[in-house]
Amino acid sequence: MSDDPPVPNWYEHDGLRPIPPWNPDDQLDAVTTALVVIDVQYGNASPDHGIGKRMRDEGRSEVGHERFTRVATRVVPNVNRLAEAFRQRESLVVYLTINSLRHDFRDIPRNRRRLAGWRHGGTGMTDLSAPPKEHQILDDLGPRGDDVVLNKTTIGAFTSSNLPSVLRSAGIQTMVVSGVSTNSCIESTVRGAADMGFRVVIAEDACGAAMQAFHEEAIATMNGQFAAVAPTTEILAALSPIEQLHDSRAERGLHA
Amino acid sequence: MPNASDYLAGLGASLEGLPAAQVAVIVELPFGLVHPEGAVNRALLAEGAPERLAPAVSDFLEVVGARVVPQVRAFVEAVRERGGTVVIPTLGGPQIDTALLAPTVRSLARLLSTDAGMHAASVVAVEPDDVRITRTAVSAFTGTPLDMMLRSRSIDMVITAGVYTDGAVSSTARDAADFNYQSVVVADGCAGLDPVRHQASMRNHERLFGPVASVAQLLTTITADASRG
Repeated sequence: MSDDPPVPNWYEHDGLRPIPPWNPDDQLDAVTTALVVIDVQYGNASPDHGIGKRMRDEGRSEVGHERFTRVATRVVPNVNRLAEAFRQRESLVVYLTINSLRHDFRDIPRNRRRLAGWRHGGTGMTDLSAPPKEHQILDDLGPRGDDVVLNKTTIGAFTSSNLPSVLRSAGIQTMVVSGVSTNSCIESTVRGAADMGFRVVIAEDACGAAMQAFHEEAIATMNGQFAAVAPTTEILAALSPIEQLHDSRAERGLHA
Repeated sequence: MPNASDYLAGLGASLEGLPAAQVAVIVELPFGLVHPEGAVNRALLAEGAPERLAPAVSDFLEVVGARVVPQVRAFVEAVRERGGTVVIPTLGGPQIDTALLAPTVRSLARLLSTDAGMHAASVVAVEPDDVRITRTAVSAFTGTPLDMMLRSRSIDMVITAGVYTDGAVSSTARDAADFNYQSVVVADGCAGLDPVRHQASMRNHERLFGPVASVAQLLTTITADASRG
């Protein structure tokens, strides 16, 4: 049997909350922790493309205001702070994207086909060598250098990408999660990761949703049930100091 | 000011009619979570538990006892009569080794296992033709043969009902949509301890994954299997 804490503690964090809340003293091992950046693409994260352009063309730009403001003022700067720290430590950085690989969206689940049409201007990504602007990750954000980019065709990353294989191969035990949208692709991916046994830390101020209320409700749902929730600044402080990494990698037989 | 309905407009999926043979209902109603004497509810109300939980538990038990359990029981009976598939996932039991479960359900499984297996049982009685799943994680699909079993029966619509809306119901219904089933959540057949998170999960489902429909709506949508009777 496992050596988990005894039963009476399980309800302490507001009901059924098996995951310990974030503690600013927590440590994140840079060798076994990956940064995962979810779906920050022009199609859904820019006011000038995809969904944002559609809203503007329909004369209802104000509907996207909360989303695009959050992306510009919180998601992009905080993901960049995280990604820079992870790259400095040669830690794994994974960017996820979401898209169909067919003009007719036949390769993605039925519930996503209408939204996919809005995001990508009515077409999928049939030419992998020249993906449409709507598919591309925001230029301000990456990827850079050795960062891994994986496409998924579903809302959750564990149902349609090889993220699980990449994380396992790289010896990852903990995922720091960021991107958009908190209640959609982030929540499904976090649920999947936690059920697969990964420790998940959500960088709250590096995530965003269509509306701030959607974001906050999703954070409240995931916190303690599937993940710990932390601000970017505390995640950066918790990462292994760079000067310790050489010895740490050598001890584990990894290329230093 | 924009509101949630601006985002719902145009995205909600409509319910497509189907013969019952292509329909599966996943029933998330373990005794330990939905019965007033269930292990979870006793723990939530025990001496030493945070007092602020008591009103939420009381409201939850009221909704579950008066509406959720009777509605789901009636729905499950109708689906069986029409030739549909009923799936009953269970968690925990006297023989369970919690080390083999996902960390997301270990403590709950231990708690559900504390009363001779009783609390792991569903309040919807299992019939011989039902599909029984021993759950290993919050999603009924993760670590179980559920997807394969549904595919082998040519199931097209997966309907999820029970508790908690923002826990097992949402994880299972999200996965069902990702697996390209028509994923439906039962509007009057779900409940959660936190009404805000319950509503958020229902809204997320309708906006992103598939229809939220009442038992009455579903009964007009699911037709009896022509090969039966």
